[in-house]
Amino acid sequence: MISLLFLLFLVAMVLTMVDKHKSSFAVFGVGMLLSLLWFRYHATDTINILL
Amino acid sequence: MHINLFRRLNAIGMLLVSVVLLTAFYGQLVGGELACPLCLLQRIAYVAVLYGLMLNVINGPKPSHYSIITISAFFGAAISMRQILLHIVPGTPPYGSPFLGYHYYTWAFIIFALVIFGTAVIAAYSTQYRADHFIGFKDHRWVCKLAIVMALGITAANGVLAFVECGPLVCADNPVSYWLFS
Repeated sequence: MISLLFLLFLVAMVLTMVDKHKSSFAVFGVGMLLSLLWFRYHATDTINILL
Repeated sequence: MHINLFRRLNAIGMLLVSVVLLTAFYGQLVGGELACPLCLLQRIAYVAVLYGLMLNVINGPKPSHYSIITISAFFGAAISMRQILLHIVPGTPPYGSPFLGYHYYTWAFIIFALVIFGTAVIAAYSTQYRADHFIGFKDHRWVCKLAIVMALGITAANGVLAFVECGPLVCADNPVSYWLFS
């Protein structure tokens, strides 16, 4: 799964290089959204600290 | 100030972020320390910062590109802060070996904070926004070409290494071996 996220950002970079600006932004947006979901998946344990 | 100077400054930023990712590679491949899921997500955030910088280099600086860099750095800072909090609990050992006195996730938080600060400063120069046109790869200066090639190469290498370590599914919370070789 995490390698798919790297692949999405790589595709966004390549689309920028070939002047496909809007497609690049769209792929980047999907990549960021999936990354946030993946972060949420890995960060749901409670932290045992008092603030 | 020369307008193209800002493209080159962004290219230098790309090279610096690439060096950070290369250092993480060194720790993993030479030091034998496998990346944890949160470590890999921090690398994702570095790559997202690289993407924003690359937009400035290729399409010219724009406020929206600087927003992408800032949002990506905030994302990375949130992940690294989460990891710092996980290991700040008494009795919880740190993950990995320290590098120059701090662990990688602490360095990551410092670096993402510096990226946010640097972006806030450089985005304030309004003269740079007059040169927002596309420049093809072959027409760039050598420093921009090097930065673009390094960013693409490091992103691809990270993808391959993440697949070798985790496979197509979820990474282990505390990885001890590569998925592909186990």
